[in-house]
Amino acid sequence: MNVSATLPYPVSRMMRLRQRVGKWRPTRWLALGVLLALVMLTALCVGRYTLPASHVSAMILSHVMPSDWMDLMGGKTWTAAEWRVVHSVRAPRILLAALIGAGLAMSGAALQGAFRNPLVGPQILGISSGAAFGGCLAILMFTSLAAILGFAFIGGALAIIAVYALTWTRQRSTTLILILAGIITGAFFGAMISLVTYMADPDDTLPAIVFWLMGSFATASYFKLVAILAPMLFGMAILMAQRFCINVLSLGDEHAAALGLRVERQRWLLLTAVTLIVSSGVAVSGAVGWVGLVIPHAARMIFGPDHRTLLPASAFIGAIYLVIIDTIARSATAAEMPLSVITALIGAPVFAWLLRRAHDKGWSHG
Amino acid sequence: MVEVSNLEFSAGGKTLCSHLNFSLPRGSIMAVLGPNGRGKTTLLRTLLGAHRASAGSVRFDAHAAYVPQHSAMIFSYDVLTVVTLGRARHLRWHQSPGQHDINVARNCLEIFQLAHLARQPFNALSGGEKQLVTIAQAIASDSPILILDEPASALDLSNQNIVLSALRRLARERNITIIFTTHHPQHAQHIADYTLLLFPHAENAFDRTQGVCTDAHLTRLYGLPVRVSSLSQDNRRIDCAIPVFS
Repeated sequence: MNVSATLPYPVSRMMRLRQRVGKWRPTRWLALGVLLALVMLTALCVGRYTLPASHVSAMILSHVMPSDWMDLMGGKTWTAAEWRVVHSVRAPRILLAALIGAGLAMSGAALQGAFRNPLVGPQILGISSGAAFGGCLAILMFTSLAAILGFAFIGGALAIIAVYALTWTRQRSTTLILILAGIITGAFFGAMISLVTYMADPDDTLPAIVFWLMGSFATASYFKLVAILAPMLFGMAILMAQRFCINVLSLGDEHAAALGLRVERQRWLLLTAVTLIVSSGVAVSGAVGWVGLVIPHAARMIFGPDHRTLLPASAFIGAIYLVIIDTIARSATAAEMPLSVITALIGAPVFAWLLRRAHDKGWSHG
Repeated sequence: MVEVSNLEFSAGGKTLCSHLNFSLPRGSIMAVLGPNGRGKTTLLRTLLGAHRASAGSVRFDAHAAYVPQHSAMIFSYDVLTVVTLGRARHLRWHQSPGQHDINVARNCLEIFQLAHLARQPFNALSGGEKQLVTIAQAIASDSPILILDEPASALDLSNQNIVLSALRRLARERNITIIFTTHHPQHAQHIADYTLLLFPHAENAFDRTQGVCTDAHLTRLYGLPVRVSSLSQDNRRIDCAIPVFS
């Protein structure tokens, strides 16, 4: 039985889209960069206290321009309160959202390629649940960020080892077994999370765990940003280095091995990098779902399936997406909405649509 | 050069083939014939080292390239990218193909006159083109041995002709040793210098194609009467095997 999924959207439409994009091929990275900058600037302005864009851009420019130039442009136009809102509250939060969005989307793209399946993501493989369990345990027992980070990483690593052990059979691992293994692992760590919350102090650690689990950048700080910067960038650098390897891996184990690739070693390296990224993300912002699953599809529709361009494109689009989502989360309602609620509200219907398209095509090779 | 001595392999607790001996000189073509489930694909996987042999040894004088049976891809890369994947052997894990690798890939497409397809998405190609592109990918690895699993199985007659002719040219012009499996005895009779038959009860026969593709052998191989006949066309003698369906 062949249960591998084909891409659920028609090739012709992808081709047309790509041809349109292909015309600005040399400048597309610039365009994505400018778009990201614009989104981040808008995010700095939007919120409970709306700030004028001119003040915000002047504040940012003041970091790079000599002060006499600033005087020519009208000097300090902003108030001390505005400065604090931008620098202490919104900037670390937006930078963190962008970094984690980029990491999750790139991880998703890499996993989908290496496991030959456009329907897997960090969430479905149970890495997030594992990392979340580690984080909960750390909140219960300690309070330091370092402990949460370390435990989240160990939890994520345990989850991916479990999935890998479950899919490791004599035959090629199929989509079905992979997804089932992910569900089993996710369910197991979900139960462990319930156990931890059951044991938590309802006045103190319980609310912390529950709010943290739903995912939020509300407690973002430069300290958190710095704490995850190294593991995050290291993981992303490994994935970027593997971008061509992932193309080879996507042919399937035997074919890739026949082409001279050391399949096992490359896959473990990739999984380690993904675990590093997802766990650091979970450690500072809880489990933010769906980004790693849905964003690679958007990137693939625009930039094509070649992982050499797909990985960086996913990172850019993921960063843009999560900054937008976080801005909605903190400004749409008076109280802050949990991130995972919004990403799931958008992600679930998109995922359902993808599944439906794949199902209509008969779950076979096209 | 390929040398196999006393090879035995099994799958699912059943010995598929034992006491298999053959050796192929450089630039020769060997066809493997046998009904479904007799272990054709397992033989190829054993030769490649992807399946453990229970006894015997396989010796290649260089690394081998493999063309699997199912060439449809989950991610529809463009054709040139698919061919450059064949360069993986010559790249370190963190490297992407450079200009040299891309040139090699383009040359491999030229062999089959497919250069115009370089930017097409792979899954938009016809079955014959897909098969040729996958062969081009294997050749891009610069391997002197090429192992193909039913390269012409899903193709119509004219595409079978294109693929078989391409294989013969690779053996003649580039001195590549080729091993392929097929369900059509005529493919063996057409291009293979040697043929290996996988009989029931793990027995086998290996010899020059003409010597081994006989009425008696093929009848035993497929379990129904098969007559080998020949006809001449344009001063060429064409051997063909005709199954006598009941």
